[in-house]
Amino acid sequence: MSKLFHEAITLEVKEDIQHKPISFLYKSGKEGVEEICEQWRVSREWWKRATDREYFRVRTVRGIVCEMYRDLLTGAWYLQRIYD
Amino acid sequence: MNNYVELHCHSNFSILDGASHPEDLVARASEIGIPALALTDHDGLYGIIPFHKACLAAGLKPVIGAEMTLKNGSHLTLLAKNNRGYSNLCRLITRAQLEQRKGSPAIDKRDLAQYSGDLICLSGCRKGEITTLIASGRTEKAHEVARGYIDIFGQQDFYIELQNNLYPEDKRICHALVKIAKDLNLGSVAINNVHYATTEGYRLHDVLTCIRNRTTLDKCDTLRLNSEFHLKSSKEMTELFQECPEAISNTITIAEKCSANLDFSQYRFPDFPLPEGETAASYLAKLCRQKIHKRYANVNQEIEAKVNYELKLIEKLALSGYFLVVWDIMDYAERNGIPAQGRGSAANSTVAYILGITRVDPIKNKLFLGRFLNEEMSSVPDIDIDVSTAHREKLIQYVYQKYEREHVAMVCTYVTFQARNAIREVGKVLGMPPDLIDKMAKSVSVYDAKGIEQDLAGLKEFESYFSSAPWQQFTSLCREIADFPRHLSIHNGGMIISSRTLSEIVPLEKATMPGRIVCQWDKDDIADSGLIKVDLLGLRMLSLIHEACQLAEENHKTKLDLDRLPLDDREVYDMICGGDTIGVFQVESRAQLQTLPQTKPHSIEDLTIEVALVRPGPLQGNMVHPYIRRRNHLEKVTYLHPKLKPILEETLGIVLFQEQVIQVATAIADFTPGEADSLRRAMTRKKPKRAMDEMRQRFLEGATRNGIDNDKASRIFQALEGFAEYGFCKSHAAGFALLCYQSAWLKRYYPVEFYCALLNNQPMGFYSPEVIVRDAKRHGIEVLPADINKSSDRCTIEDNKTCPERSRRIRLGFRYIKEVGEKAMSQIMAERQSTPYVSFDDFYFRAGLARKPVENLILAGAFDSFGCQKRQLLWRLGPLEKKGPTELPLEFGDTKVSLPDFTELEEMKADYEVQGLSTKYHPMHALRRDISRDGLLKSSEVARLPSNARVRIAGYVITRQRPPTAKGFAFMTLEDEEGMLNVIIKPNVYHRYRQIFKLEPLILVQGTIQRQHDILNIIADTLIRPCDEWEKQTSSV
Repeated sequence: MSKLFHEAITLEVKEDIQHKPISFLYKSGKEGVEEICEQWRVSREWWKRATDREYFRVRTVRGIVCEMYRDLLTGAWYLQRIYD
Repeated sequence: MNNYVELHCHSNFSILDGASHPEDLVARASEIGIPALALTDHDGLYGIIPFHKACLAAGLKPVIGAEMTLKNGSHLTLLAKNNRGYSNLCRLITRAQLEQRKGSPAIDKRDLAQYSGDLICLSGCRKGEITTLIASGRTEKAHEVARGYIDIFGQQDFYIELQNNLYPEDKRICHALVKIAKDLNLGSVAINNVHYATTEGYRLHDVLTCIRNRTTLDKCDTLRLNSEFHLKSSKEMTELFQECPEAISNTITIAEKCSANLDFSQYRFPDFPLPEGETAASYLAKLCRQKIHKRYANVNQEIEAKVNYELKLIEKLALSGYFLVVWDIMDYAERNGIPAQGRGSAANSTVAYILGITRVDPIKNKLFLGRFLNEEMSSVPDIDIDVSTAHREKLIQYVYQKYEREHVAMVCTYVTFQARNAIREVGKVLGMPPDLIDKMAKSVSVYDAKGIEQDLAGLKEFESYFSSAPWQQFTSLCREIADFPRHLSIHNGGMIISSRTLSEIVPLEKATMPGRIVCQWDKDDIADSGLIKVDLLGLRMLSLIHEACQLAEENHKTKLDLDRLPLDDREVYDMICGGDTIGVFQVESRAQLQTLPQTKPHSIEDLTIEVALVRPGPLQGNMVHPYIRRRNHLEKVTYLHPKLKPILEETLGIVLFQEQVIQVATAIADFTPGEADSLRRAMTRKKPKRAMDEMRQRFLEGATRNGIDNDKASRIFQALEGFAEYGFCKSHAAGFALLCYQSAWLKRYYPVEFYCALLNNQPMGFYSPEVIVRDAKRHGIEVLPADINKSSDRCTIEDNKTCPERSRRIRLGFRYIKEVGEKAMSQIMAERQSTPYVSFDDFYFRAGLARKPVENLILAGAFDSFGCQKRQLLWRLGPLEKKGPTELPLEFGDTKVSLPDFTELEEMKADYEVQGLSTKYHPMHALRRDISRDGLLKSSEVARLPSNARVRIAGYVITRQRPPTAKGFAFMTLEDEEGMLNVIIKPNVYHRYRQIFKLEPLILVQGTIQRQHDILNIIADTLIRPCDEWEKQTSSV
C-alpha cells in the first residue's frame, strides 16, 4: 500500500552534482537517501501546461520508501508518494 | 572518448514515427562525436540512400539496418554485416511487405531462418519479444525465445538489446535482460531507440503520433512518456548504462562488424533476347537498316553517315542492349495501337527516330546528338517515353511480362508535407477550429511549409493570433514538419528493370493499385545508386488525340494519319496566333495567350520555339521580350561573335535551347561534346561556385586559343550562365510542338470530336471542364446535359437532326455526375439496352440504384426528357423507396404534392454541386441582375473600349496565378457570359485584396484598360466580393 499526495508536498532536498537527491527534510526530520531504486522522467503536455519532471523512487536510511520528483522547469522538489 | 555507436535509430522514413530527416540525424551524430550510426527504420530501407550519402560526407560509418515487425506484433532489429547481409535484409523486407496486407508488413521466424545470413540481430526494443516477456514476468519463456534466435543467427550475431529511456520499469527490465544474456552467453548492447536528433524533436514526434492515430494531442493516449528518444553522446549513454559497460563497448564491436556499402556495380540492365548469331550491336544495326526507309524516302549519304556514326557510338558506350529494350517496348506499343513517343533529349538521336522510339526527325529539325549521346558520357542516358494515359497500364503490364515480375518494379515517390497539408494536419492535431484551419490552408500562398509564418503574417484576419504561444507552436511545428514524407506513392512512370532479382537490391512493396509493386526508393535514390530506370509517363494529350481521331474517323467515315499531316496549314496557325487555344497542347496557358499574338508562330519551327520560350525560366531570364522584339523587327538581331550566328540564328541570337549551350562551348572554346555537356549540367544544376569558376577558366582559355578576346568570351559565358536557370532541350520542345500542332489541327477541323475527347480526358491542361464546355459553346458546339436514355459513361457525340448548321452536339457522360460510379453506370446502360426507360418510376425500379446517385441524376437533369420537374422528382423518390416494383400503381393523396420548380439560381447551384459545371447557365448569369448598377460592363463591351478607359467588370475566375517570376504581380482570367478578360494586379493592389484574389470564385474588378499588340488587359485597382457589392447596392436603394 502507499499514500499518494494528489497535491504533491514541497520538499527541501540536498542534491548531488547530477541533481540526484542525497537527503531531504520531511516532517522536520532529515532523511538520508540510502538507495535510488528507480529513476524516470516525464515530459508531457508541452502544448498547454508543460510538465517536465524527474522522478526518483528512493529508500531512506530509516527504510522509508517514497517517490519524489524534481520539477525540471523550476528546480523545485516535491514528495508524491510514500509506501508503507 | 567515443566508445558508443547508436544502433537503433529511426528517421522520418519511419513514416509518421521518426521526427528527423536522415541528414539531420547524421549531422547531430557527427556533432556529438559518434563515430558511426545505424539507420533502422520500420520494415524498410526508404531513407538509406540519403543516409548513406550524408554519412560518407560527414566522415561517419553508416550501418544499414531495419526494425522488422514479426507476425506476433513484436519488433526485432536487423543490421547488415556486408553486402550479402544487405541483400538478405532486402529480401526479408520484401517478403514482409508483399506477403501481408498493404501497410501491415510482417515476417515470421521461418522467413528469418531463410535469410539470416550475414545479418546481426538485436533482440528488439520495448516491443521486442524477449523484452515483452520479461516485462510480464515470463522469464523462462524469454529464455526459450532467446534460444530460438540463437539457433537462427548464432551466438556471435545475436545480441540482447538494452534500452533505458528513463521509463519507470527500464532499470528492472535491463537487469533481467542482462541476466538472460549472461545465462545464455550472449552479448548485450545498449541502444536508445532514437526517434529524433535532439530533445526538442519530441514535440514533433508527438504531433506525428497524433497524425498517425488520427487524433489530437489532448485525446491521444499513446504519446511517449518523455523526451529521451534522441541521439545521446557516449558520455550520456555510458552514465545510463554504468552497471553494464560491455553493452556500451559492444556497440563499437557491432559497428565494426558491419560493412555493407551499397555497391551495385554488379547491377545490369537485362540483356535483350537476341536472335541466334546476333550481338546486340549487330541486331540494332540490322533493325535500323530494315526500318530506315520508313522514315526516310531517300537515304542519302548524310543520313547514312549520321546513322553509322551513331550506331558506332552506341556500341562503344555499350548501350545497344538498352536501345533494343526501349525499341521493344515502343514496338509493342505500335503493334497494339498504343499512342506513345519518346520525349526529352532522346529525340536528338536519329537511331531512336528510325526505330520509332521518337517522332521528330533530328536531321530535318537540325537537332544535336551531343546533348543525348557523346563519347565521354559516364552514365546511361535517359530515354523517357510519353504514353497515352488511357493505354499506359497495358504497356506497363507488357514490361512486367517480358522481364518477369521479380526483375521489374515501379519507382516510388514520397508525398511530403508542404504548406497546405502541414497547416491542415498540424492544425488538427493542436485542436484548432476547423474553419480557421480551412481558411489558413486556402489563404497560404507559399508551397514550402517553412514559409507559412511569414506568408500568413501579411494577412490582417490572422493578426490577432500572431503573438499567442499556440500560434508560435503551430508555425514552428509546420516549419519542422516541412518535407517530411507523409506516405508513399507511385512515380508517374518510372520503372526499374534489372537482370538481377530486384528484391536483392532494393526492398519492394505493394502499391495501392492492385497488383502493382513499387520499390522503396524514389527517382533521385535510383539515380544516386546507379540503377537505370525507364520512364513510361502518362500523357493525356496522347489519349485525347487518339480518341478525337477515332471519333472523327467514325463520324466522318475518313482515315486520319496525323503523322503524315502537312505541318503548314495556314488556318491552324491563324487560330493559334489569335489565341484560340483552349485545350491545345502547351499553348493554352494565360501567358501563352498573351504571347501568341505577338510572336505569331507560322511554322512547326516557330511552335518549337514557342513551347520552349513561354516558360518560367526564359521569363525570369528576361529572354522573352528581347525575342519578341527581334521577331517583330523592333530590335536588331546581333551576335556576340560571328561563330555564334549559325548556332543562334534560329532563335534570333538568343540562347534558348540546351543544345545551343553545348554547341557554343564547342565552337568558341573547343570543348569536346562531353565537356560541353558537363558545362550544361553544371549550369543547370547550380554547381558550387568553385566548380563553375573552373569551368569559366577553361572556357576563357579555350576562347583565347581561338583568338577571341577575354572580354567578349566573358560576355558569351555570361549569356550561357543566364540561360542556366531555364534549360529546355530543343528535341523535347520539337516533340511537344508536334503534339501542339496536331491538337490545334483537330480543334480547327474536327472541333466536336476535339471537345468531346477533351472532356473525356480530364483532368489535363489549364482549364476545368466548365471552362471547356463554355469554350465549346463559343465555337458553336452545343453541350447537352446527361440523359438517362442517351448518355454513355463517357461524353458522346449525337446527331442533331433539327439543326443542320449544328449537325452534331456533345452529350455529357454519366462520369461527370458525382456518386454515379462504374457499377451504377453499367447497371443503367445494361438495363436500357433492350427497352429504353419510359418514365422516372420505370427507371427507378429497373435500374435499382441507391438513393444518392438517383438524386444526383435528377439534379443533373438526366430525367428532363420525361418532362418532369426536378423538385417533384426528388419528392417522388420518397414514396418510390417505400414501394415495391410489383405493387399496384395506386396513388394516395399524400404522395401528390404540388411543388415549385427550381429557380435558375437553384438549378445552376445544383448543376455545380453534382457535376462541377452547368451546360445551361454561366455563374455570372444569375449574379449580373443583382450587381449590375454603376456601369458593370460585359467582356464584349469592354473589347470595344480604348486604352486607358476606366471599367467595372465582373466574372468567374478561371485562372489565378502569382508566379514567382512575376516580381509580385498577380494575374487572373475572368470569364463572363460572353468571353474572357485578363486582369493584371500590381503588387500593392494584390496585398490589399489578396484574400479576395485567392478565395473568391466570382470577383468584381475596377480598373483601367491597357491595350498592347492587340492584347487587352485590365489593370486592376480594386477587387470586390460580389456579395459586398450586392449588399452595397441593395442598402443604397
